[in-house]
Amino acid sequence: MMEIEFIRRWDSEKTEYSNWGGFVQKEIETKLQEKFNLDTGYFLKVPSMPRVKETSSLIEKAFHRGKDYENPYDDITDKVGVRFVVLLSTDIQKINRVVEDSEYWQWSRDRDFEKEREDKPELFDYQSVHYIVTSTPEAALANGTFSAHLPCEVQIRTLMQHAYSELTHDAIYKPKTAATPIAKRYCARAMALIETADECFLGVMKQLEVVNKPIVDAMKMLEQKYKDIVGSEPDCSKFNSFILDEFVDKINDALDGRLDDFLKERPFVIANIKKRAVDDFIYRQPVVLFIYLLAYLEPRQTKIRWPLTEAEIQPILDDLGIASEF
Amino acid sequence: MIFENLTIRRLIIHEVFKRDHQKNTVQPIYGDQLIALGDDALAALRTRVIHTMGRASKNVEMEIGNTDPGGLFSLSKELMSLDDNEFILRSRNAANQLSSAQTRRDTPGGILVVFSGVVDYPEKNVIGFIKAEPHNGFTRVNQDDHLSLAFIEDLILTPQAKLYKIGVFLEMDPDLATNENPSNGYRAFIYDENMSPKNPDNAAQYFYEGFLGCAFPESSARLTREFHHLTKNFIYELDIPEEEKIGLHQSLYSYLKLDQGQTVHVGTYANTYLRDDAMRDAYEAFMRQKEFPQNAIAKDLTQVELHLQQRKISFRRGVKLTAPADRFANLIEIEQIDGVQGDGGEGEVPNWTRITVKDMIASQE
Repeated sequence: MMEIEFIRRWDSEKTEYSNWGGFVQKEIETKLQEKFNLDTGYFLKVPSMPRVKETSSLIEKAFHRGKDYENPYDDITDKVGVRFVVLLSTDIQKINRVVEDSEYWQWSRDRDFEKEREDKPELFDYQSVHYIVTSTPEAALANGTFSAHLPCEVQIRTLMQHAYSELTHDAIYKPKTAATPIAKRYCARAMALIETADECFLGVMKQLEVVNKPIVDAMKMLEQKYKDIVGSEPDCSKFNSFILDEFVDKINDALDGRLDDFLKERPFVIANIKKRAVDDFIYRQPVVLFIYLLAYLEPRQTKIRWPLTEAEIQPILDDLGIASEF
Repeated sequence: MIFENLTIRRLIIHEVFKRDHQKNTVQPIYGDQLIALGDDALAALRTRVIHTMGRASKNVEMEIGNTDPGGLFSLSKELMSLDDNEFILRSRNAANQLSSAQTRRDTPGGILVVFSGVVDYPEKNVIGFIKAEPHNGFTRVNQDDHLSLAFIEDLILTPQAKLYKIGVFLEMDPDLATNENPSNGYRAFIYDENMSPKNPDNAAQYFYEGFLGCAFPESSARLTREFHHLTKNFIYELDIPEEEKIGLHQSLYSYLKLDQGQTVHVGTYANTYLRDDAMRDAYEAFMRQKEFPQNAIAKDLTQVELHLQQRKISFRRGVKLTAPADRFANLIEIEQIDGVQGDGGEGEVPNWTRITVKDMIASQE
């Protein structure tokens, strides 16, 4: 295939590839939300955008980099690509699952850093997971803006791997001469540190999970209770853990039962929550139930340790008839 | 807890005045319509009422003395069930009664707020009377983009609780009321910073007695004794070093005997003498659980006087120390020390007590 032919074909198919890349990106994000209940805006540390290769760099790769492709157009599988950047190596596995479970494409693993580590344990080099996903006829039919059998490269890496890759991308890999032994040595050291840091990060997360367990459990209980008793879908914003964290010493096993008793004797609390939930954020949070109970049981500490303004706790104290000038 | 779930439904104001130079009452100016407050304003008013009537506030439960048909209690019962128009007209009567109750010429005028609503669960009717005395302050004005101050002479119902008095009648169970005891099934609460049972001829009496027709309850002495007894038990059960408990017992004596306050109030004792909010909350919860009132009660020491004369400390093996309570802190020093282990130096080091009595022995048996 000649360059001119290549360019002509690429020009005519570029849009399809771009559509396909967009589809892959959207599908993975949707499934991440559905399967793992993730806020992708938070989970993905760099916005994932489908990127179609520039014609010039494609031509360079096909004909001028000594790759010696037999069929350059089809052999180059990263004509469009989507990159997902996450915080921790364990997060990568979530995306792996989504990629491997999809009905819209066939996949193959192009690069797998975990396997590379096993094969060359002494080497600290570029790490990332690469998939090639190929559109199935069903997907093409259902969507209609791209055809079947189009490849798309999916890269998945951690934020630190991403940083490493950004640093080394142009300088080291593309022009063969630029990589001096000293630079390479630095890179290997950086990658070794990154691997170590990732391990430390995981240790931190594990530790946080242990510490957060009471908060997470309490939140689950409160969310369920809010649904059952208030009867509407609560917001579950970070505000909840912010409040629970402030009063974490007040969380205990008796909370569930005490809350039931407390609310049973005071149906007006639920009525007030319902009424104010319409235009007041706090009353849409499950943690509001906890605040009521705490204000009733230990009004001083609740008011004095209350991390927001007085205006926000005042209506709750007033509902409970607590004179709050301590 | 009585003042939970307060909703203020109706609200009207009248203005009463100080007597004229001949000591005659001056006719009040009557409000002629119910006042519709916005949500924020209504919430603020509710906060004022809760501040004086809610749990841990310093209101005092009173006895309803005057149940005459022309008195304020009877009027309150009536107001609970009247429709809006009649409520507006009949509430004027309260303004008249306040005017005539202000017998002294130096009693200032003010705004009388009359409100009705419900409180507690299941809901109970409540009628409240607030006498708010105007004071002054400033507000900022923004005129043509220029900030300036405006002086306001008649601010009322600011968070300054000193500047209002409030009395409420609560309908607990109207079926209990009889011809002989029309106030059965009703309770009255009053908040007034000037109020004092010891000094009946003071500046507050016109309000609670003359106007509201209430009297200090006879249960004050019993409640004061219970306060002493329960607080002692609370200190006893605390998991703190004995030395610290000595200080707390001393504080209980000081609060009842030396403190000039005219009322006994769980929250005030907690604030003044307990070491942190956790202990204060625990104390209030303890007293609540024992069903001791969280509002203020008139301090009446007649039934505890005897208990307050002597401080006693008992030791586990029969030693007893007794000293006059009023001089205990000055005469006795107590300190916990490490004892000497038993035979052969085995076991834990026991806690011993070193007592210094700053006096000579007078006699012994």
